[in-house]
Amino acid sequence: MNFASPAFLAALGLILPVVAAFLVKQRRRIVRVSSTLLWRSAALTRSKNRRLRDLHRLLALAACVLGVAALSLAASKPSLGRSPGATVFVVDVSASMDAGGRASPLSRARTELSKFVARRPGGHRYALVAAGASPVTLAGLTDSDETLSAALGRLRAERGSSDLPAAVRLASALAAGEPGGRVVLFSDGVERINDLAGESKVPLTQRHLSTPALDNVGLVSLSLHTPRDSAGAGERDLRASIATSSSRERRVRVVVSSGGVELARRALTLRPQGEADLSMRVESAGSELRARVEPDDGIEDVLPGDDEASVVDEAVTMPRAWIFQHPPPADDTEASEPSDVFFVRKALLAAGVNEVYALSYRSGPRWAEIRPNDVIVAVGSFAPPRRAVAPMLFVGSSAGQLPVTGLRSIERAAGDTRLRSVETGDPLLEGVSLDEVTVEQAFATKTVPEGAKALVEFEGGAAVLRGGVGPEAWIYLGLVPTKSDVVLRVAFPVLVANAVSLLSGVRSHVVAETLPRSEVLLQSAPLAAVAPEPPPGWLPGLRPSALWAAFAVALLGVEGLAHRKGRALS
Amino acid sequence: MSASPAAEEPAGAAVANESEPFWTPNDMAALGRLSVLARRLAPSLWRGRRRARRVGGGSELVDTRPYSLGDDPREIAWHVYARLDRLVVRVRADEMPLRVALVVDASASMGHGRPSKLRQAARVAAGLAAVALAADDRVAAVVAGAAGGALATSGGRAALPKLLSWLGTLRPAGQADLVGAAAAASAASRGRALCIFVSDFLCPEGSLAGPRAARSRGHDVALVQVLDPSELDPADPGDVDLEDEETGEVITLRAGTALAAYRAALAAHQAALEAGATEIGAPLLTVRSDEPFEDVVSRAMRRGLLRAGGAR
Repeated sequence: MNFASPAFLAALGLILPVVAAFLVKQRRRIVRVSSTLLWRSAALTRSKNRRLRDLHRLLALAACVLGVAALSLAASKPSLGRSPGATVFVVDVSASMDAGGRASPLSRARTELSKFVARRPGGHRYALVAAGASPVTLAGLTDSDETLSAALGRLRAERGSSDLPAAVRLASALAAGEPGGRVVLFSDGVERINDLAGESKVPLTQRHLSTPALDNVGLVSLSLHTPRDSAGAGERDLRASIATSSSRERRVRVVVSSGGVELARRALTLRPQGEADLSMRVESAGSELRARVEPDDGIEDVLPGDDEASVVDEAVTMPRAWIFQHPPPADDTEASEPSDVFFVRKALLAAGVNEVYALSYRSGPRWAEIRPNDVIVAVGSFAPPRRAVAPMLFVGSSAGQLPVTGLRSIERAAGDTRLRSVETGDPLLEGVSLDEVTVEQAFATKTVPEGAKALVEFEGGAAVLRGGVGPEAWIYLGLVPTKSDVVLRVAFPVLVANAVSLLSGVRSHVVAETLPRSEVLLQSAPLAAVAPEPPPGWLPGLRPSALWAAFAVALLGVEGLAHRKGRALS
Repeated sequence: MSASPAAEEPAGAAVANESEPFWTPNDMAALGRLSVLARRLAPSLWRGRRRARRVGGGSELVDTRPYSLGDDPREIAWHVYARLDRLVVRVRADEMPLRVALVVDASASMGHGRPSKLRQAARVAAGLAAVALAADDRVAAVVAGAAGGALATSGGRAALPKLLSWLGTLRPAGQADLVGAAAAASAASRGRALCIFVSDFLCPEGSLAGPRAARSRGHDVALVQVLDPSELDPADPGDVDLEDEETGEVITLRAGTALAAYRAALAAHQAALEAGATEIGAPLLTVRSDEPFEDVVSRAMRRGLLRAGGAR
């Protein structure tokens, strides 16, 4: 046991006068009388006989001594269990943690942490990490209640998602090496499903703060594209996705403005906990375009931070795209074009690629026309050999000269196409929402090439990867356009546009920074594979010192009651 | 109670073994005087007590005797008065000698004091027995205490020495069971009697339980309360614990107010005792343990303690 205020242990010396008073009282003379009947009205205490009287006094002495000792212990603030110890608290400060005002998960986390600080066992140190887009240490390991309270006051929700694995790694580094070190995570869930326990070198405990069922609408994506058929230099295609967390149908209006001048206004209807896409042609020409979502049905919007986004238009020169398909089409008409090629071509055009050419094994001389900043897009199961040095985009390829090995077909029926993780922070997936995308079939691998990065993982393996640099850069999309509804969503042209931008270094579109879909939907899911037990010193009721104080009061009350009643305790 | 330095007093000794002899020649002379007095006062003492005990009459008229104050006026023979100008009362055949049952409390509390309350109780009982025997009444004795014991009804000249010898063996011990003693008195007296309870009546369970029991059995009851001077007017005990000689109870006194509280409790106890005695029609006499027993018996005779009747 350790003591936070050991000086109060000196109060144990008060036991001496108590014992002395007892000994003095024990020496009281006993006078025998014929009857104590008439003396009872003047009696302080009565005992059936001497033995019981002595026992009563002894018990009263014991209660008094123990009461004084318990009070002294209580004042000295003892601590039980493992001590000294170190606990690092990680608090998710993503946007959804601020939904609900006073009842928001962040407010509840702040309240609970305040109680932790108040009940901190003596010798135990706490630290505080805010888990936002980049984790920040608000307070290092300290036993100063003032420092911890000040750090709690600096907890603020950010406009964005949280990088919990990075925050857990940071907290783990703080707690590692400390005796009894552990990490406690406060979160309303994760945007992407991940196993955080593996990120921590010390025991990890979670405190799941569920988000109340609230009504929220917000922008989940906003991008600006240069249309192929633009009538003027300033014409742009504005694409937006709006989502709602409400369990009822919502009506909203989207207002697009530039420089304070309203350019367009659209009304949308959102299904419960659903999403709606918006596409409109606007005139911007190098200015900032702002889109704002407003409820149009009188229902509240608990998270205002996700209602607005802005993009700055940038003029660019788009690369050329070469679509390789094998076997080659019978002719060059669009009618003979396979469906997957069709979708990819449309996506390239939507991405602002003005020149799209067909390529096949029979193309021969055309291979020589490919420039290093062009993009070769292999659509279909067979990928071409590298006859030209240019970045390559593979869409649904499973054979041929591929940068990825170990590919296998994964089926929805087997549950292999269930989404497992998405690296939303990667530029390729910026503005791309793959939530609730239905994938009947895809190609995936369990083997990530060295130097490459897996960006989208299904249960059956990684289906979106990228690697290489410069003209040898590649992006592999294992999604089969005809076996998924992703081609019907805004996500696909954005994905293709991002791919073209990454591979060519040229951007034909601009994507605004918006909250992730899960934040707008206020999704709350318990973390997986994290120990549920509370941290040390977390007593649901009182601190040890308060327990000792209560014990002391009870003992002294018993002693006083026995004294007042004047009865033997037995 | 005296706050003497002696924390513990010796345990009760037999009354005959106390520092002073149980009976001295002076005491025997006093008993003799009481007997003579009793014979002389017998008619007035017993008159009014020797009435028919069977309700409804029908008893045989066997004699007359001169009228004494207190006689039932219905028994006056008016025809004799008319002829002789003398008041006489009829004597019925079923009048019988009075039985007296002495119940002596020999519990531990009676051993308190020097001389002990038990010694005084025994001497008072002996004096009352001498008076009763002198009037040709029959006397039985019962002791209420740990030892118990009873002396069956007897009368005549040999009865008093036998009683004195029996009383001399009493020693204070245990707790008094006056209810049980009342039952024993009924058995010892072989019939209805005048039960005289000689005790300090300091019983936590109820001082008059025994007398009430005797009354319920149809006996006449009289009470003689013996208290030590230290009980009637105690000194301030000081900062001590008190231990009950009889029950072993130990109490810690509240300093400063103990004496006043005791006096108030004594007054209340005595008032309750008197009220209870009145309720059961029992005369009550309170005596000190250092008071000459002859004076006590004389007072008892004047108070009518030995008369039967009273409120029924």
